[in-house]
Amino acid sequence: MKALWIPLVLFLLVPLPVVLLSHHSHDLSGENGALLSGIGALDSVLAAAGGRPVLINFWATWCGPCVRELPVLQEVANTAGNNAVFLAVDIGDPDLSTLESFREGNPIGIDVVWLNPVEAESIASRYSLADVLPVTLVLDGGGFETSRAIGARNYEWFLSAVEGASSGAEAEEEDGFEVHVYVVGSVDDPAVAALLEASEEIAGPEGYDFLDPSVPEDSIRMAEAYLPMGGWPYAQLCAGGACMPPVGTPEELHAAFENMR
Amino acid sequence: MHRNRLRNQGLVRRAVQFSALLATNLHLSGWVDGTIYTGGSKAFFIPGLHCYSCPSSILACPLGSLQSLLAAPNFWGMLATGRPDALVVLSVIGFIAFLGFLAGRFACGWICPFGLLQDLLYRIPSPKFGFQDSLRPAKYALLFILVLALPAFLRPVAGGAGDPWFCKIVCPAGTSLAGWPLVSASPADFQLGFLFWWKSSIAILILLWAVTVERPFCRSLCPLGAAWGLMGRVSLFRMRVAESCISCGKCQNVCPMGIAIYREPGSSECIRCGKCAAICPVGAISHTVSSGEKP
Repeated sequence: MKALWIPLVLFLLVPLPVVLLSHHSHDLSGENGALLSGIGALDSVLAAAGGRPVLINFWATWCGPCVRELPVLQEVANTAGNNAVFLAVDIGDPDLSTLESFREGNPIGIDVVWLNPVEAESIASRYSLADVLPVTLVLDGGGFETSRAIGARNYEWFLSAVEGASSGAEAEEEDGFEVHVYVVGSVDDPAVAALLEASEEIAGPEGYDFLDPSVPEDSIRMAEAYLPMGGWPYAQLCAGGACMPPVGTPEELHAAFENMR
Repeated sequence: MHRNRLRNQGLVRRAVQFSALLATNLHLSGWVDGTIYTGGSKAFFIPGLHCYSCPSSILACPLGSLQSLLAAPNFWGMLATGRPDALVVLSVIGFIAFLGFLAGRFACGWICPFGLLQDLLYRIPSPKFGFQDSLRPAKYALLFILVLALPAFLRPVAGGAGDPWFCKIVCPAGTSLAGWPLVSASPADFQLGFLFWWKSSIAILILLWAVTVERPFCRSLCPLGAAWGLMGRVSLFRMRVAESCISCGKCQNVCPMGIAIYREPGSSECIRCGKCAAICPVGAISHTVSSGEKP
């Protein structure tokens, strides 16, 4: 046979369709759900749940664990069908346009509610939300909270929480609080040095990463972690699959740490 | 005498290969604690196929970096607007092109850690087989499909990132020198799925192949070698065959790439290892630096 390379290449390409199909199974259905705005819209959806459990996921586009969690939520929503209501509530993006641009590139199949900063603060107070994201609440048919997760969770946890809301059981909460800080900026920026020092104080010598956006590998890691691609220098504090909003000074970083604790 | 010369030349080349391996793998503690070095030197590339995630590596793989950059979200838009993190792709292409036009596949023969690994595996006593030449074009297909086209253009989720496909579904260097050690160090941190087992199978097959056939990966599958080989046809540093050649074929017998260098001194497969020059009974083969003249 004169062209053995062809079957060899075809053989090596075997995983390609498998990987692409798995992408689609984790895809947020390829189409956006409804985009609603305001507390009124949120309350309307809750009122329309009609006795079904409601899963509310509080998130923001700058929060890597939140973004990675959305496809999992979509899968759970697909599994649950009409037996439960799923909502992704963006309480971390002051501008609606940020969310709109994000949805253009990353379709979110479940309905999304955007809240402006004032409304977000009000909702955070109503549900006693911590300052980290993501936070997920599961309410039973009567509107009572049955499960709460601070930080990202997996498919099994969400499904069990939603099923538990129907049966009265609570999803098992996970323990653990290991802090990690991402410091983003230029290596010769004095503000970065101060942030690095504060990060080491908070998370220890192994507990932080410095990323310089002008270094290609760092830039790639930032994209993979969904870290903001502008506004550096900044530091973002994460723990247990949840992240605080990026901050620009050591004082803000320490304050974020205290809030997170 | 020629055998002695061949042995001495082999010792020199092996010393260079091991020196390059050591010089580019200074983060040895990574093998113990299962971590990756992330210092500033990772902004530079190793002249060879060596995974960024190899625990001891202090440099980045040019092929992996190229794919990762091409696969970045909105890569073409960022490139069009001149964003620095997209323009870095030009430095990777420039690095590969510079070495290719300078010396073709020289780095494959003298520096590449995965080339060295194959050289060592072939020394294991076992039945040895010839190489099926019709497999050679596969590496050009892999270069075009998995390294360039799919990372640059395939976006499973519109607007999202692509994938470094060669790294993701084929690269045995990544599997054997990064995947396996990292997973072994902390198995609980990894969710091992289909791709891990697929790539492990591919890596095992290639490593076993390298025990019985000399440098099979370089000959048939390496996209980096393919890129350098294409440039090697017009590189400055190359092999030269003088008219005194008697076409005895000894050079082909010792060539790790199985090239009849006396017939095709400008072969794109040549890794400039120099074994042909060392074995030539009439001294007709040599390295030369030429600018454009036909060898």
